[in-house]
Amino acid sequence: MIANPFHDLYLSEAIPEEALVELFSPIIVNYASAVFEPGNVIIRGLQGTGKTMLLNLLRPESRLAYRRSRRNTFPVPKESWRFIGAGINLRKCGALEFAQHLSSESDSRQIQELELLFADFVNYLVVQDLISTVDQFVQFDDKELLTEIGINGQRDRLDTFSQVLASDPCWFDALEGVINFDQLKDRLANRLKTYRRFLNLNVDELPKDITETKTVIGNPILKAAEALRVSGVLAADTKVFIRIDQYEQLPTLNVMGTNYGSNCQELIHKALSARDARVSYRIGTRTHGWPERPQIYRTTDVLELKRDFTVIDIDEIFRRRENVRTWAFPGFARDIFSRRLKVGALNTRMPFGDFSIAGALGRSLGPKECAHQYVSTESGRNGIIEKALNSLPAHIPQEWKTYIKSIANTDLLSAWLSCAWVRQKSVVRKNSLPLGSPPQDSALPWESKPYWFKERVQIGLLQIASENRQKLMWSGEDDVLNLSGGQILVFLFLLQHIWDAWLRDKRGATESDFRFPIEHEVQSQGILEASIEWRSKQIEGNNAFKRKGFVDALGRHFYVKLTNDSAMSYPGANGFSVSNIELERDSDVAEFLKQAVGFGDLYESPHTSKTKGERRTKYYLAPILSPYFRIPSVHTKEPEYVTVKEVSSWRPGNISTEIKIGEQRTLWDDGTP
Amino acid sequence: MDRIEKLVRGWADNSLTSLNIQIGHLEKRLYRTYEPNKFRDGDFWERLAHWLNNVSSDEEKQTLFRLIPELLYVGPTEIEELYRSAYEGPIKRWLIDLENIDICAPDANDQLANIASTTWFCPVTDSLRINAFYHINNLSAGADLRPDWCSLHQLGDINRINSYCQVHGITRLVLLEDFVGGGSQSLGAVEFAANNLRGVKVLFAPLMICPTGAENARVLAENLCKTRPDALRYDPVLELQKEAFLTPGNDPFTQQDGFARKLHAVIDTTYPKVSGGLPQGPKKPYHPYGYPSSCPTGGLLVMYSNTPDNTLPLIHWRPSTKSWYPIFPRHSRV
Repeated sequence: MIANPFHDLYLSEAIPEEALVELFSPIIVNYASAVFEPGNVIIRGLQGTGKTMLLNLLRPESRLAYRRSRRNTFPVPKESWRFIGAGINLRKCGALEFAQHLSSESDSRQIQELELLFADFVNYLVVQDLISTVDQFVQFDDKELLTEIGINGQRDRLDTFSQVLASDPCWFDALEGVINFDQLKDRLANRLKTYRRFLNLNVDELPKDITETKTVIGNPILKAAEALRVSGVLAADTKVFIRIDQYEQLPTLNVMGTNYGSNCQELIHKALSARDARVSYRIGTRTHGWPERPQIYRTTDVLELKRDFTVIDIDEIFRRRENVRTWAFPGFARDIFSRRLKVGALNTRMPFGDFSIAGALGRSLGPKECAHQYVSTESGRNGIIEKALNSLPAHIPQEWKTYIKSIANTDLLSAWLSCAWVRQKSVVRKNSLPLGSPPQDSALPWESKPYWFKERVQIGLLQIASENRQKLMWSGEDDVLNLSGGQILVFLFLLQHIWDAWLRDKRGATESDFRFPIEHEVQSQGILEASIEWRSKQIEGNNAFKRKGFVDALGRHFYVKLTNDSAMSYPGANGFSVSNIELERDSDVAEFLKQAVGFGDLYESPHTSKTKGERRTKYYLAPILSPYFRIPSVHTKEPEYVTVKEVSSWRPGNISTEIKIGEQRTLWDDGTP
Repeated sequence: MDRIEKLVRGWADNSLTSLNIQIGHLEKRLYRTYEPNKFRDGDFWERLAHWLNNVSSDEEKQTLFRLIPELLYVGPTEIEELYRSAYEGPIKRWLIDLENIDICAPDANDQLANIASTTWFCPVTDSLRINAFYHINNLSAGADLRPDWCSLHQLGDINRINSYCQVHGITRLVLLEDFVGGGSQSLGAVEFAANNLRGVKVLFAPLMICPTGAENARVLAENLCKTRPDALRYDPVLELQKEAFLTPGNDPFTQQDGFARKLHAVIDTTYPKVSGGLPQGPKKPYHPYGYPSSCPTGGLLVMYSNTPDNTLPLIHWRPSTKSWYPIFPRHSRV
């Protein structure tokens, strides 16, 4: 049986190491070379953009997996190979559990004590991981690799390192008496074991030998890196990178009326503020997870961009630009696609020789083909145009109606757009040209205005599909890349569903029946299913219910607005734009929109206003939601200009939203959405 | 192109699209285990396509399609779990009560295991796989014969049965049945055992039972215990509630979108095709809402081993006229 090569969305522990190195795309490294250079780096991006994948390259397990692989070299530039990495994933390491000890009766001293225990716990975890990293490389015993990184794992050196580190005052004598490497590992492990018993509420309080020897955030990590070098375990020029992933989780600890989580973030800022070349931090966080003013714990001082840290914004790297040729995401996606398919072909009986997206999915349907799919019969086309012509204003000249009718059967889309054209041109406006006579010799009315056509193709198709109660078609390489919105997770999610739909469609078929490209109808079905599921899984994070309600109201609003716009005056109304001044005045709405962007519900970008000098921000629904809401994913023309009050009205619980949704229900009476 | 995929795509409805994925999931986990079709007409999707083709309009097809995940399909894993639950629940409770076991005693489990090993576990009919019940619960053999009591009731010699119990020291009998509708088939055998076995106490523990059967079993146990205390205990694993059945006056669905109304209409209008032209009455399939025709059950239950005849006939009935193609064809005993 042919399996779905996109079944596992993440490169997780479930995937064997050999497959992992085959599946990892080095392309992302090209855009994030700063990760492998000295200095603190914040790596931010939406869920599934590849942050953790990138940070995982710093882990010894990845390095060793590449070493074992015969076919793949470590995808980091060779001049940057001299490093080791250690760190934590805040979600998985247990550090978030300190908040369990907060209660409504906790006084400020107790809260501060818990914050400092968090810092101490992180220190011990990271140092333990750093030692484990060295240990793994030493145990692997590959002389070439050890030289490449700059590690000397001789026993006496490791013992010297242990003595130097343990005797450093940063531990407040907690490691007193350690004389060799094994003892050091045991002492660190024992302390962490006691912490875990405390975090799991197995003991009421921590022993004094811990509470009286709390370390300062970052200090033991610096000292460990220094001791590795001083003892000759690590070469002087080997870089030490410290990963702290899922940093955005910390504010979820602001419970019981405290700022506990935010203060823990400030502790991490304090570690970064050391401006010490001995270690470099790598912080992985969601979009908007990193604060605008990263304040340092218990000070009014803040970290400075470029001086204390730099930022790699993966959303920005893969964001679609005006010029498609500079868009980095397709190359990344194509590489990952072909890797997945090749590994799939090795592991299952996939009879494909073509591992490209274009080969598997073909090209996306052109506008005319789409229109033909939505209304496939001649009688259907005539019926739809007849209805459209009947609804035109009475003063539209008959010659125009005859013209539109004449092109309807061969080019339904142009006929439909011509209806919008005559509606627009028949309204006498200042500076507008009169309607005039229809063009001759099969010419189209907008020939001298190609942008008029280009900007209205999508709304035209949407209206035709809606008129014939058909869903929008989505298929082919371009559509899949556009719907992915620069998120590799969404891209794989789409492919997973396309493949599922394909496997269902070929139920009972033999292997030879599986041929590329996958039929457009099948792709479209898979994409729609992906969109439905993506919307339904939109339940995580702050304000999830409200955000979901907002997204639903917005999707319906866009659909109604676009389908009702028979003159196609606002073809860009699949997005909205708000004045920045208004947003600054209404922090509640601004924060809500920021959250929605942070969780990937909305995309935002600066908007050049029609009004000179005005600063605005435009917002679009995540493209993956377009099939569900039956709205175009392509952003053309001006978005809808709205006020903050209107934005607020789309939030659930707002009376006007409820009424609007009720009024619109008849438009969705076929069950969608 | 797959026929079901094509159909669902044509409906262009988000909720039906999601339902199609749900049915796909259930097919992999459950529907493909249906034994009566394991080696004949085995493909669920083929049967589904035929079944939907029984009706002509899209609305009727969609109604039938939406009925599929509403069925309570009891697969092999679920049956195994019911075997386990029968032993862990009703049977252990009965043994503890009967033998006054102190459940806090350190050797309570050993005591229970000892008692279980001298308890006779038998099926009421041959549809319950008693061997599997023994395996799942890791029970020691005890008595070497495990006859079904419907057959014993019809063919057995009560003196020989009593003598068998005496020889093997049997004082407790557990009668198990996988599914009981009204109890017309099984309660006679249960009564036969409880009335005729000398000095043997009986537990009747059906894995699943319908409301009418439950009521009848309770009355039977009450009556028998009046003449001989502890003669019969009735303790089911899963007693299906009245509200879970689809009858002309009741529907168990939570959707408020007219699904129940549409389904009632499909059940009524298709009955001539389903029954092959037979009117409602004593002949199979009895009634649009299933057996018995006097008070149809309206069951929505399908077991992997067979579909009960009190489930809606449009699910399981294949008339001799071949005017209806069922989705889970029932394998009739006669």
